[in-house]
Amino acid sequence: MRRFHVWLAVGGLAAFLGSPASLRAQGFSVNEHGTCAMGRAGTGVAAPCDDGSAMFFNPAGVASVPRGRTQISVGGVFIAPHGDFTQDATGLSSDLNKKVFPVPALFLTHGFTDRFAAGLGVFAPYGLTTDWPKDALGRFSSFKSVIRNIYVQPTVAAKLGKYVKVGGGFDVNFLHLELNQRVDLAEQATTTPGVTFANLGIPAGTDFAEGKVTGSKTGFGFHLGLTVQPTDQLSFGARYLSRQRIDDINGDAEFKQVNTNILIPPGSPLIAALGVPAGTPMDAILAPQFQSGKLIDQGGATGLRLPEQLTLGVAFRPTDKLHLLFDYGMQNWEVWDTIVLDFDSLGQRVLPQDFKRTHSWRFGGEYSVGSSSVVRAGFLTHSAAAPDDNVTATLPEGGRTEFTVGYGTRLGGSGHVDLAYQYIDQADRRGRSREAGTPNDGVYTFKAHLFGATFSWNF
Amino acid sequence: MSFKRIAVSLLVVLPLLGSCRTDDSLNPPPIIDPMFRRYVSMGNSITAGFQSLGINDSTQVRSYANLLAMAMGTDFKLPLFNDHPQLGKGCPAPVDTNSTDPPGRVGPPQPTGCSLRAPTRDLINNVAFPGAEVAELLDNFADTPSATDVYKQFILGGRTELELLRRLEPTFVSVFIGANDVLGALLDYPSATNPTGNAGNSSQVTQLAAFTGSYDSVLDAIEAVGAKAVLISVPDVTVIPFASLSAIYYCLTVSDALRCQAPLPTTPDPNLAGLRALGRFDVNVNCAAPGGLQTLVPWPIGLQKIGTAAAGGTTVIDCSIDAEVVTPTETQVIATAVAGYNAHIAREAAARGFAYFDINLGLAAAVDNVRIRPFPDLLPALAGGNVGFGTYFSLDGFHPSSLAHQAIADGIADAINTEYGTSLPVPICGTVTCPAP
Repeated sequence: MRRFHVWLAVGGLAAFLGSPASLRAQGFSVNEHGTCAMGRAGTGVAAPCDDGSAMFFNPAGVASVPRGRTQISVGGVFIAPHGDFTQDATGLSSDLNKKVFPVPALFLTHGFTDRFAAGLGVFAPYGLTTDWPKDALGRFSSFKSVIRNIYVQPTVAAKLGKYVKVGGGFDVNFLHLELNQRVDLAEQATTTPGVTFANLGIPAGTDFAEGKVTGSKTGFGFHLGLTVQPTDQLSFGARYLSRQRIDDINGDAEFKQVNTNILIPPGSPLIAALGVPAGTPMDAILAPQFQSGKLIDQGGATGLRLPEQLTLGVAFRPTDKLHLLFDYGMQNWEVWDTIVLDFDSLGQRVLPQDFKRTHSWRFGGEYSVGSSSVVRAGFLTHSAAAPDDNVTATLPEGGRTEFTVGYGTRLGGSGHVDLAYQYIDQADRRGRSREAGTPNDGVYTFKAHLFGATFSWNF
Repeated sequence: MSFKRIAVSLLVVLPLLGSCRTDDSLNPPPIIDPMFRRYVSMGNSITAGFQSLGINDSTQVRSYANLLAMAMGTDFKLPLFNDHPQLGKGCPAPVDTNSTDPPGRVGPPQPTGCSLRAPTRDLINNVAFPGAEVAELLDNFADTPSATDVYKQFILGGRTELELLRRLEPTFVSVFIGANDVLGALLDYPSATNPTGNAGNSSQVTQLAAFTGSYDSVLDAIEAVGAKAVLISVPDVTVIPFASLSAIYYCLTVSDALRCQAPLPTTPDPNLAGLRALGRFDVNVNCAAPGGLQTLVPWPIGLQKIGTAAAGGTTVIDCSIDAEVVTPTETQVIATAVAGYNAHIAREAAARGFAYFDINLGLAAAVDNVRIRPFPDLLPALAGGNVGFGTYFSLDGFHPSSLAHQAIADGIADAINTEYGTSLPVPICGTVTCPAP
């Protein structure tokens, strides 16, 4: 029994590979790629903002760039999340680390003719950082997860006649994962079939290992858009961002020992089973697992699916100064049905995710103030992707209501700045702090403040 | 109203509608007072729910600590010893026949004596383990090895009670510790498994300074986590029916008006008297009052003597044999220790603003031949039955029965209500649905 058959709770590792925790929106999609659109609740598929962000909100909008004009837009959103998890049984809670996360975006456009324009966008439509303290209640699910999807999207767009614009882009996605979790000794199996360390009295929540998985891969997809503007007051739009299937993400899994500081007590059956005296550190018994056992550093592989997005919208100008917009969006998170993880030593684990399609409804408006400024406001609500039994520390997600305000103004002759603020109010949601298959044991809360700024220059 | 106004109104109203969401299922279970949000019970076998020389999930849920938690309405996780296909149920299973050697136990035989802990994904609230002395709340290696050390693995998992307490960050703690700091002396009687035993062995009594030092460290830790607490006094082990006054043995077998005086029973037990008449069983006059009022005879010694006589042998209880009885000097050592412990506990409770429950008031009041027998009912054992100790004690004669646990829980609840102004229901059972005793 000197070599424990430790079956690492790869469920947790898989959870943060497979059920990413969004700080932001449906699933772990990010919708704030231009401060102009952010100020009006992310609406704009029917009338994208004139800051290059059309490459995300509707590639057809790039066709509006006048011939000979080159525009560079650089901006970012700073996200300040606040969240916690409160355990039912104890009332104990853990707070998300208080950090501010930047999400930058860059757009470059040029009008080649009166009917044809092109551009290059760099943005992150899917991404998350969930950062809990290492002693958080959900640390055995995950304590830090980073999923970065940087899309580089060359885009072309054209006007088809007087009313119609079309556009499309090719997405190259640079994916990077960093996933961290603690491992609970109590959950591990001993060499006696069916007997875990918890059966021997090891208290729940005895950290003995810390796992870190990193991986990178490039994925590919496309983005299409269409706008129809039958009158100066009314326009319609639609966009489709393709699904991405990224297989064979080869990564590294690193494990380091966390000292339990448990001494084998007198009277323990482990004394006879292991042939060690009372007082032997449990950590000394476990150490070989990190040197030649299943918890050595090893390779791993998995695959990810990024869902397709479909957005439909309408924009209406009742007056010259007022612009009202409504968008409906669907994201097909059903692609997150199962996650398969293959570790070199720990073997394979298949985890059901069973995510659901999400639906969003966005209402925005902007009002011109004077000749060079505009104020914006908006409201949106959307459903959750994670099913009720898969709300985790990695993805403490729920349906959300969000409010936005924004302001934009010209800076001299060729510059423009947009500023926006967004408040995310997520409905409290029951979830679990442990690995897949365990029952919900507490409540997650989540709120966030977002501040955005985009600077645009025309040449 | 213009379209523009309608649109602007919608932009204002829709967010307000969207934020009107509630979910009653998110509410935590009702707790009678926030002070009881996280309750941890520290102690020894009594708190752990040990009865009749054993412990299993049936006895564990009948512990006063669990009953108290039920009254509080707080979540309370126990380190349950559940069924196991090969290992049976319990650690070990409680006895159901106490007059045989070895005693008969509930359920199938347990090859290892101990089944496994039921796994739990939560920290346990009842961190008490059988055999605990006060120093062992702080250090698993503080005492000489004993058979009960196995619980340091199966209940504590190698942690200490104090470590588990700190991890749970309790809001309320009960501390019922100290009985094993004196009980070892009483239990050290000679037997097949302990041939060199000496009932009343004073070396097994923890010195007062050592006791108070460890006890204060526990209380300091409780204060450090900001919890409130109730402290329970150390039971006067000379009152429990495990050992009886040798004077009672004497008076039950001898009509001796000179030496048998109230409050001792004066009516000779016909069966014991019969045994004596046969010349097979005798109680030496050195067991009579006045010395016999401070000399204790552990029931296994008494039963062994009487059993031998009933089987045709000749035996005598001789109170000059130190190993077989707790001598007056040894009794005094135990009583002095308990009094010293309890004086300190009461002082600390007052000084720290903790509730205090003196269990000995209830113990003394319950000695009435029904709840706590001053003399065990030995005779059924001669016919293959069980030795009886009264309704307040289980079949080992020193662990409280389920009924006694209910009384203890009520007494503690009263003390808590008095100190903190809470409204724990008393009696608890009846207000909440307790396991049947």
